[in-house]
Amino acid sequence: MRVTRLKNVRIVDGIHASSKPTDLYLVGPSLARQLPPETRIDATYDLEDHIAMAGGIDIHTHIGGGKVNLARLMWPERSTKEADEKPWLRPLSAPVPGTWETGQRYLQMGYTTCFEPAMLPANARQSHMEMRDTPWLDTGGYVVLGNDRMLLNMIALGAGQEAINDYVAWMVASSAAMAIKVVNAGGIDAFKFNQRQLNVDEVHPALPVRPRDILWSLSTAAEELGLAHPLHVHCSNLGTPGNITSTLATLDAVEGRRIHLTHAQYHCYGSDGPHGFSSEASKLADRVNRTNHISIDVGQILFGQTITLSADTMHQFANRKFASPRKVIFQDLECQAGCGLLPFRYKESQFVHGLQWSIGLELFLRIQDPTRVFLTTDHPNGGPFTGYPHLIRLLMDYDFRMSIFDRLHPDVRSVSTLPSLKREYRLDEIASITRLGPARALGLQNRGNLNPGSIADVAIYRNDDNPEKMFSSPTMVFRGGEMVLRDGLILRDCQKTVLISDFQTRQDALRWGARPEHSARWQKLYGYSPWLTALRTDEFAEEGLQIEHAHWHR
Amino acid sequence: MDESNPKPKLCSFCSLVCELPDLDDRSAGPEPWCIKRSGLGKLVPLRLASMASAHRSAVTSDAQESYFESSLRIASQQLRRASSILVTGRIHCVESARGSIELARRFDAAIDPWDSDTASDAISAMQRGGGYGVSLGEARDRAELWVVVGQDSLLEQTPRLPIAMHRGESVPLLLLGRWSDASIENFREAGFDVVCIECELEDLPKRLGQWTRVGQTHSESQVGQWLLGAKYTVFLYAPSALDVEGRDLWIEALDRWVLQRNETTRAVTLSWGTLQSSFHQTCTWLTGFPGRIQFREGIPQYDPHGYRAKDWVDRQTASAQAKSRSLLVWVDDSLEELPGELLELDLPKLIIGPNPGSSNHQADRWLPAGIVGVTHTVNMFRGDQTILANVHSDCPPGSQMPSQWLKRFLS
Repeated sequence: MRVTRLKNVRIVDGIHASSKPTDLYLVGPSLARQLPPETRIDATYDLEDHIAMAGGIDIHTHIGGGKVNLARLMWPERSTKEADEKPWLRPLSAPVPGTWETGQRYLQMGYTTCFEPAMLPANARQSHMEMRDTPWLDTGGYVVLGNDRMLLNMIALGAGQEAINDYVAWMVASSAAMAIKVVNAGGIDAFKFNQRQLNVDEVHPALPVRPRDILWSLSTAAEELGLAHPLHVHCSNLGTPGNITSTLATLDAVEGRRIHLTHAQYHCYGSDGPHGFSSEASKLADRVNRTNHISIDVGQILFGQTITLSADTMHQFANRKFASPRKVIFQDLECQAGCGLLPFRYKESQFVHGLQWSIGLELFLRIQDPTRVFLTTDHPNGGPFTGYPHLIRLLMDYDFRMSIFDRLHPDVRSVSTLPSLKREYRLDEIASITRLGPARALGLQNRGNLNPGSIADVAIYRNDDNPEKMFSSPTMVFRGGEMVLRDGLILRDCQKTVLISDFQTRQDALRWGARPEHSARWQKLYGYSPWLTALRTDEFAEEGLQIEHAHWHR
Repeated sequence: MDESNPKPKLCSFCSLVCELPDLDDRSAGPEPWCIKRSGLGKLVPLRLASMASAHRSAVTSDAQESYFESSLRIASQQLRRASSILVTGRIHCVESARGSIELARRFDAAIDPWDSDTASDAISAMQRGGGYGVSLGEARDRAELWVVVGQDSLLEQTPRLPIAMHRGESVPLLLLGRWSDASIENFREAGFDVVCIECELEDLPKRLGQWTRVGQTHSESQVGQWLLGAKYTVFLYAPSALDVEGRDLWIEALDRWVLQRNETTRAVTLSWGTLQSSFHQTCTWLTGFPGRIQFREGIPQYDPHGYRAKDWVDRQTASAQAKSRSLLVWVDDSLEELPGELLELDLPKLIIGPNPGSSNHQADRWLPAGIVGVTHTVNMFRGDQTILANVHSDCPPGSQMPSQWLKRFLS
């Protein structure tokens, strides 16, 4: 077993408080802090003036599936405009690049694990296959429920939580998912019946079901099934002024159960001020600070061209007039959800965009516990993941933050409270929002930290006064104990792992689809057997992937 | 998932779900979509099953293996020496697409499926304007009105589609275009209330606009009334079954009209793709482009006009010097005969597929391949490109799959 010694390196993982340099060992695929004296060391790297962090974890990034591929397809242009205008964003070749480029660019920032947050059950195989073709990253996905007509019918007919748990377990297991995501609960399906808005306590146009009922049922299922990651929620009223009301109602709907709010920046808007659009980030941050069952990822926006893509057809359709350039794609999909894509350019000079930028940063700076707020841009919706080093600098450097703030629309500068937030993130807090926190929220005990026995996915960064430069180019990246990148150059391929949630009823869940009454119901709705779209674990083995199960440690 | 679950029952030829009662009828005729139960309980197309058994016996002899090894060696040399390579063919599964793209990347080749004009037109239309699409399952459950646009060739390509579209209750269906009585009857037998209105396809997007002007709630015409009255209308067409001039512009105009309908009501298009959809999808996720690319130093360059397979062929055959230094790699997942125009090409060819053809070009090589979904388990997209089905093999593998041959070139 190969042993590598990282000598005199400073460990920064959000757990170990010491700032003194120490030695870290990579023993095969695992980490160790001490070794028996007779151990043969195969390679030693003296890393004075460097820090070691666990491999980065992106808890919410759109990297595989039908709508991601549509986004690639709709953007055949290759432009250097962004590269010329905003080199600090280190632009991708397109807002949503191919899988090879995605894997490469994540690795070149020291990221090693990513999660596709919106797998359609019918389309889960494609999502996993695209992620399989994304090299250097371990991957997993969340299955989208809450607009699937089968679940809505069950709730409407009062099927009972036990039956709903069985169904949810089947959907998670047959999609080989890590977690459940709900997108605009009931709203996507309501849009198929031509309803244009659905608040948390409004009734679906065709079924006696409210979003509140869906949120309660799914959060209960996640809890009772013992899923490692709590219900991952894209709230109602995405991007709508005044949506803080429905966001707080969403938090209330789960009645104290664990919940993760995703791209929270888009969900804490008020409707005050000269443009009828204001920040309510403090209200959401206060709620997160006062409770311990809520985590969020921010979905920070970064100025520049991107493509927004979402299962939330209701609100994407409402935003179609903002498409730039003017082309849009929408789909209603398989009685389960939908998707909407529109190119979008965030501009510093635009009031709403400037305030969105400021609101995202407010969330980072107002939430006290860095293990419950995670760094994301909801790639590609808020901007490309390659902007993360820039975002880290915004968090760590007040003056830099203000230098950009000063360029924003004057009305943003007059209404935003951002200048009053003087907090600057420390390195250990960066480790928490990019590694430790996401790993804990996902139940990945052996990732996101540098504890002995954890996976030897390690990123080495040279200390630099400019955090953007520092986090743009790790000196080395190790995957499973093997060095795969040095000084920006990728050295070799590595074994990939697919991450799947484990729960006690897995075996029962897989039998659900074989029961005649379930199979018949499925067949009637979809026109095919539930096994047509169900993934078998041996498919992953055939693709050369390892499987790792995440557990919930209550 | 290792339980003894029932295998998905999917026609590996047409990618449509074949759990339909009439497909169990063993007396059905011998067209490609006829199904029989294999020994393992899976439904497979009759013709594919017989081909599979023929193949097993054809490739077991040592002499043939030796010949194929020698072909592989020579083909590897050709790949290294060629100054211009095109990877093309009939690529119907993800595995063959992956292998083909990797081969093209490694050897800085151009790659484009052979008959890609239809798909390219549909993709171009989407890239320019987008649209509002729907998957088959959603359309089947939600449609209040089906509008099927096109001509008989739609049903020649996918004869089981009407059955797969129908949800078991009476739904109105409007046939627009040029349809024979047999086609109309086909939709009726599937359970639809069919009204057929013959019209010129070229004019259709314009006619739709006339029937349903923006802001209008009542129409003089019967069609207009139906279109205005339905709360969820599905427009079904297959780009490959649209015999119209300027197909991409036609699709763009229809998509724009449908998208606009959604300002006030719900309307969607169901565009039924070709068997090459799996290639276009895979190529898009691997490279960012749907095909028609040329790799240069491993980087894909996309030009939907410049890197069309048949244009590459024209360029190479126009020059004697280019001809001798080029190589056409044909990757075939189809059981159809090789196209005559391919076999007649005066270019060196490497053919990887179940069918050797009868080329007389002295430099041509054939590497025999198995049959997707019959001798090898593969992943293929259903025609609506939403469901990626894992199509199980039923017969022991005799030949290697194209993807396995391609891996051997790359190893």
